[in-house]
Amino acid sequence: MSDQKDRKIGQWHNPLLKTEERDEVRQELTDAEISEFSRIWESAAEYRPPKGLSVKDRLASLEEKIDEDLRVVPMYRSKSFKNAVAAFVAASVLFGLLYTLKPDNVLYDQQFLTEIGSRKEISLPDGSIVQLNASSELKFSSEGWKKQRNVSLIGEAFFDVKPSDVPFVVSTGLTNVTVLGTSFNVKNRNDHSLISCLSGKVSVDYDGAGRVVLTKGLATQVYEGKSPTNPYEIEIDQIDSWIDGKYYFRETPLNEVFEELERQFAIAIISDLDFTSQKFTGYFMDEDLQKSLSIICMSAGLNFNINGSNVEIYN
Amino acid sequence: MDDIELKQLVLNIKSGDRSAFGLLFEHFQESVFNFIAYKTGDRDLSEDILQETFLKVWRNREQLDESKSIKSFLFTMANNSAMNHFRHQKVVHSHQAGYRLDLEGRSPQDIVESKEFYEQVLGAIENLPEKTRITFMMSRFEDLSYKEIAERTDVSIKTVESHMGKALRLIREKINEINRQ
Repeated sequence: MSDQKDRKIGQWHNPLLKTEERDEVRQELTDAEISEFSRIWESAAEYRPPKGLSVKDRLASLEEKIDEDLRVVPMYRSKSFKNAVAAFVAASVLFGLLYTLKPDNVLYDQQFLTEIGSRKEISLPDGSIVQLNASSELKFSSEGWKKQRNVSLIGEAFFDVKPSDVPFVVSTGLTNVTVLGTSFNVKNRNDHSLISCLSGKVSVDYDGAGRVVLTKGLATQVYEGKSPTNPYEIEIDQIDSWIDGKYYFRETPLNEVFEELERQFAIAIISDLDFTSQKFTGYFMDEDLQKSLSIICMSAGLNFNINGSNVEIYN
Repeated sequence: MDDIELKQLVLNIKSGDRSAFGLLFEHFQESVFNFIAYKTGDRDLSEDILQETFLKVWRNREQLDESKSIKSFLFTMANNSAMNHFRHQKVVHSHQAGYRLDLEGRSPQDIVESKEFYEQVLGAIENLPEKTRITFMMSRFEDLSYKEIAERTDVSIKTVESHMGKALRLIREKINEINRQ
């Protein structure tokens, strides 16, 4: 609610705002607000950024590191090790697939699918809204909807649930997420789920093995065969930023990051490197493949080569 | 440096020209350092992250794309490097950043009267949510335009406006709260 007002306050201080807009914004603010905001505005402008080292010192230190680089010989990776890892990765992906394909015990007559590189907004019978990310599937039963609000999800979706006494349950095969009315994100890829709560309360159950309750700004992760992790804090505006094409990762295995790239850009990553033990923290935008790859590869010290819809990653 | 000069610079860096890389560093080091300092609130850590960011760019210079904005790329890299340093713990913006009050040209009377207010304002700024804080500091401490801030932080001008308004609202609430006590 206050977002609208915040923006007006922000616009008021933009010197480039057009006169007619300025008059409009002025009506939203009281005289007291205007004078107090101005005083804060002026006072804050008396501050300067911290004084760091001199450019000369910084550049010298950087040059030194670059020189050190030239003396370091890259480590050799054995081919058989790489093949073993590739086989293992393939096996776990297959297992993940088999797992998500297990039969459901509810009859679903409504089904929504998204292709690689596309997203969909779905309105449910009760007015709840689902944003379905790329390469995902959402199913529910319109018949049984009045009695129970059950949906089945493969992939990733953001839910904005209309409050009601009827519980809203998202089943992923790995977990059941139950809420009464709230907004939250469920990401379920391979044998790994990430559930993040944007507002309200979210209960995450894992096959009776454990239950975690999330409130605003908390997340939990569930790995196959393990109970949900303790809730941890995440940045609120990173939860649903993917709807606007911004993908955030925190300490995420690099292979999962590359999988997301494959889904968003409809590409295939080709590599005989093992990415499972390398972690990535950062983000990419879904509008620019070259930039996204550069950011991820630079952080990880890797190289890439785009060849049509194939992307080769190498050391 | 304009866009065409930057593009040429990036091309030279891609071909392994260290002096071109030095120029790029000199051009952006201060603004990138400030951005990292606003984010981490720690001057020493910010120096480390600055080095790390540019070192990564040099090591992977062949991957640079001269047709894209190197500026937005550097800030994204710096942001990602900084995030990497935080790991699991929630970082509280500390007072180790060393923001400086620049009151040159003000009368001593004026300074004494306003000193307390300045401190309250800085305290309130440091307690803002991260993105709001970084946006507000860029605008006030460096006098950057909304457009420039939007470019550096990779958001729309509309979002910058919202952060600026939110910052002012929260700082005002905080100061009024202190002064009521």
